[in-house]
Amino acid sequence: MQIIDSTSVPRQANWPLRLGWLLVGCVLVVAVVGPWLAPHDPLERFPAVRIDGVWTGPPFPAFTPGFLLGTDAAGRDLLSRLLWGVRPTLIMVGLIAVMRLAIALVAGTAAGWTRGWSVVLLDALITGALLVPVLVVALAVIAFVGIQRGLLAFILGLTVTGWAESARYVETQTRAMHDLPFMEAARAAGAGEGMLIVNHVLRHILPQMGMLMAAEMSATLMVTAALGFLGYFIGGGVWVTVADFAARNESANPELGQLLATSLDQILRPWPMVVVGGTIVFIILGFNLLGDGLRRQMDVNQGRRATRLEQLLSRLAVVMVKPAPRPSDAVLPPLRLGRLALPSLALLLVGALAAWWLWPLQAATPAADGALFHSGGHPWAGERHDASGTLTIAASGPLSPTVAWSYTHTGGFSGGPVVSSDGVIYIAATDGALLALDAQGALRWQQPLPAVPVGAPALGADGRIYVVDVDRGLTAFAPDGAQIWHYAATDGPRPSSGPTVGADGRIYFAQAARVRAVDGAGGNLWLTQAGMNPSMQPPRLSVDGAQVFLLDGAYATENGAALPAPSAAGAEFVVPLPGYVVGGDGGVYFVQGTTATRLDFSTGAPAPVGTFGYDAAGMNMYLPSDAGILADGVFWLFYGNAYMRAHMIWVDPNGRLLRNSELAMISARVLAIDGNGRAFVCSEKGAPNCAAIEVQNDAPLWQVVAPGGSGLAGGALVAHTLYVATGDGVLTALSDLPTTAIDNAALP
Amino acid sequence: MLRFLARRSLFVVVALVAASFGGFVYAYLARTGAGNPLFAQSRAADPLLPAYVRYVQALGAGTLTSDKYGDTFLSVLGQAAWASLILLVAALLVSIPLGFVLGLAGVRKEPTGVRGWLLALTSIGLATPSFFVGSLAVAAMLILVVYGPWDQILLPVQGFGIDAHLVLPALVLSVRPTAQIAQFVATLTVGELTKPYVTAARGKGLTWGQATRRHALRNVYAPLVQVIARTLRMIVGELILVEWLFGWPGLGMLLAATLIPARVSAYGVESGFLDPPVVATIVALLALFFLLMDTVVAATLRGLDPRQKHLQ
Repeated sequence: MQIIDSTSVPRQANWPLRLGWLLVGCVLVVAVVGPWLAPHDPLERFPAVRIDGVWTGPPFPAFTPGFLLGTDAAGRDLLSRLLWGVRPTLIMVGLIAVMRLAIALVAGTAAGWTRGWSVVLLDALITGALLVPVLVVALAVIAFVGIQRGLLAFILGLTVTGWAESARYVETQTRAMHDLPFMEAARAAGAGEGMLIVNHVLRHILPQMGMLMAAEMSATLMVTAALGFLGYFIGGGVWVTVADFAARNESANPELGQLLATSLDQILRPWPMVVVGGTIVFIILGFNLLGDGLRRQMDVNQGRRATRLEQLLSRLAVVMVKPAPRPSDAVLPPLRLGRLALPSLALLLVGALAAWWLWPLQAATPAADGALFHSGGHPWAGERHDASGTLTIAASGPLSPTVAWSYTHTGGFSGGPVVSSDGVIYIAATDGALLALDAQGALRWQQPLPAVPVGAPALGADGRIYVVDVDRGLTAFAPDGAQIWHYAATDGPRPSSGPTVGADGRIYFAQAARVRAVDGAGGNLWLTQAGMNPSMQPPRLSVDGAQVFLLDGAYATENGAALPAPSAAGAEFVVPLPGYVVGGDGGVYFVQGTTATRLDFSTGAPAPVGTFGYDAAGMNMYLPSDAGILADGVFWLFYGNAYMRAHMIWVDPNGRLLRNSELAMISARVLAIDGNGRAFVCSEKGAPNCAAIEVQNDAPLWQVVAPGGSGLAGGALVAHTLYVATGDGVLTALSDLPTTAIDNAALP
Repeated sequence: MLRFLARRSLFVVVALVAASFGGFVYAYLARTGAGNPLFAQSRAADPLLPAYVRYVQALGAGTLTSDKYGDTFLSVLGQAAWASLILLVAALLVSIPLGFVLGLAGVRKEPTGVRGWLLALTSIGLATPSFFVGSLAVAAMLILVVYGPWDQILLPVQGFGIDAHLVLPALVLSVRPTAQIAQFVATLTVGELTKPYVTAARGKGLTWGQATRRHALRNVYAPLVQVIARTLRMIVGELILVEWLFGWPGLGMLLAATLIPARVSAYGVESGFLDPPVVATIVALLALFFLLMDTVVAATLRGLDPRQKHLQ
């Protein structure tokens, strides 16, 4: 037994407690009123400021006039972002801490009080949970449920083993009390187990909850920050080194983890990292000191009064667990639900409030590929996958393909295949036939066409197959091969592309530099005026279907009227190509050379809302042969002309060059892009030499030469299989899967 | 002691099998549940239990392969374990002596207590995430080269090597452990110094230094070993971040590369993501490390503190 002489230990000032309250108080004030104090909108970008007469780009350092703490790499005021970002982070961390404590209280008390097998089991559970670092568990859980789940993934990941530390503490405290003399006395007076737990153990432990809460807050924030460092944050899901388009595309308001993730971007201008990291250290330090101070305050060796917090918690404990007036009352059920109602209601209210605050952060999930672009529910509905010509599928393409099968039609193919939702492959043959093949490359049926087809067929949402022919004809077939109708135009030049089918069932195709529209029953709608550039590609539709684009021409789908060229665009560049592109984010971009201008069509006419691109330093003289914008804002430019080696350039929305992948081939075409952002490219001359390239690597992921055929006609991509068709009539399936396992209808 | 070790080894074997099976099941379910058709098909074609049995057989035969590393997997794994061990040992060699010396220096004799500067130092040290210190160090190194007086980098900030490469990762990794050890050494020593036997020793004529060394510290060693074990757990958690930051090809980076998709995004996944054999093997290796550590700690405690024998 230790002898305590309280007079020998002079009472020392509890500095950690005072400092801790000061820091935590500051943080709480910022969390509550921060957004009102912010000098700027946290999302507003300042592209340049003049410092001492010199224009400078972001990130601006601290004490730049107007930006007390400087800005991040995108030119957004850091002070405002921090003032906004503390609140959601603190609420999330608080929510997780409360959940951890609730589990810890139950598990710890049970483990400390009970005897026998249950205690062995609980003890093993706590030990096991303590063994694995929380960060590893959080990563594993987020990988399991998916970062798209947002808040749920974080709460699960940080709680599933995070409660163990506090549980161990509660267990130790409970066990130490089990056989103390006053417990024996209570037992002798007739108190039951539940009575003892509620009236003695809980009343002893509840006042310590403040201390445990502070410790949990700091521990949770530490792991949250580590996750942010690794690129995980709520509403996010964009890789750290690929800059800050999370805020642009996905997450709404800033949050500390996201701020940290995006602040590590420019290591040579580390100002944002210092400020954000420093803030996190400040908050963790505050909670650590507070926890430490509360522990000291409770230390009996220090001899002192209870703090306000303890008094409050003790009072709460009294309210929750009113002591029985007489020992004989102990036979009644000790824990009455009514007493718990008020605190539970308060807790529920706090939880609901927190969820309400945090909901916008995680609700903004990116739209799925199929939902955004009209492909009629088919894996590959037209020459460029969908009506907007994105070339992009949601699933993953082949990772290490072999030639699964190859089908030869001596008549040759006019374009690539299309793949319907029931897995059937349709392809148009130059000798005037429409072929239907199954996923294993066996011919199902063959139907004659009225004339030589142009380009690839296209699929309607109802499964109809549309084929354009050189006699200005358009023919609709049923999935069983029966011809439904045939339309023949009489005016305009000969068709130069296959059809595009809109969500409303209308069919569009290019007649050189003009667009033809036909309704779903085969009736003529309109033909546009002649544009500047004839197109071999089918027209592309905006996501809402209000505009149709053909290279640099834009038309209203309502009547085919030409829309004015975007006012700011085209001023410096002579040839406005590749022209209009519908991005993976659903926006319409006007791409000329290496710059992309985002357009707003809300007034009918295109209005530029921002330009980004890549300063190609001399490479501007070559036009990209194809270009697009991925769902996360990455701008890709493909150069596949005959006079240089094919290469693909990836540029992030801040204009930074991410990769320039060069391929050992000339004259090539991008056939498709998969859900991982990989591009599938084939050479156009000779036997198709196909490769998969990705932004992460200079070298292609794989390169395979198709076994036969010559002259690329087109291709299609479904999950794990790339189809390549040649002009002399060979259709090859390059697949990860063995021939029998190929399933075109497999959903991503 | 022998009986203790025998019982322990049996437990280690059972726990290892459980850990590897747990890791395998987790990765198998997580991967096939991730909505990727390639993996969904492999689930139907390759049920869980036979896959695990094959994994164990391949592991036993030394022919284990993985999707991402192919048949080089075992050598990659061996090198990663070696790299992590080097980093871990280096960090311990820094943090244990430094923490011990700092902690003792922070003990005030009269009135007995922990000195303010140590409290401040350890509080800030424990509140600073290792990746933040690391990022600052990397930025400082690069900025000194780009804008500063040096024409080549003072200490390398990327890659593996038992040379200058080791300096920054080991230092960064040891910041928080040093603070924790120093804090515990100071608190434990202060706790002992207020006990009556120290008063008796002082009354006998010993100086504070003698009383501390001969009496108080002997009672500190046993709990200190437990603190170091706890610190090790913390270091392993931080290992992922530090290896990630410094491009150190260790187990932490291998694990992170398996658990984090190549491009964290709403897109699909890539081949190495949640590869069951990789996850199972790394989890088993980590479990082996913790169990060995636990055994060493338990054995050391029995040597240091005679009371432990009676507790068992």
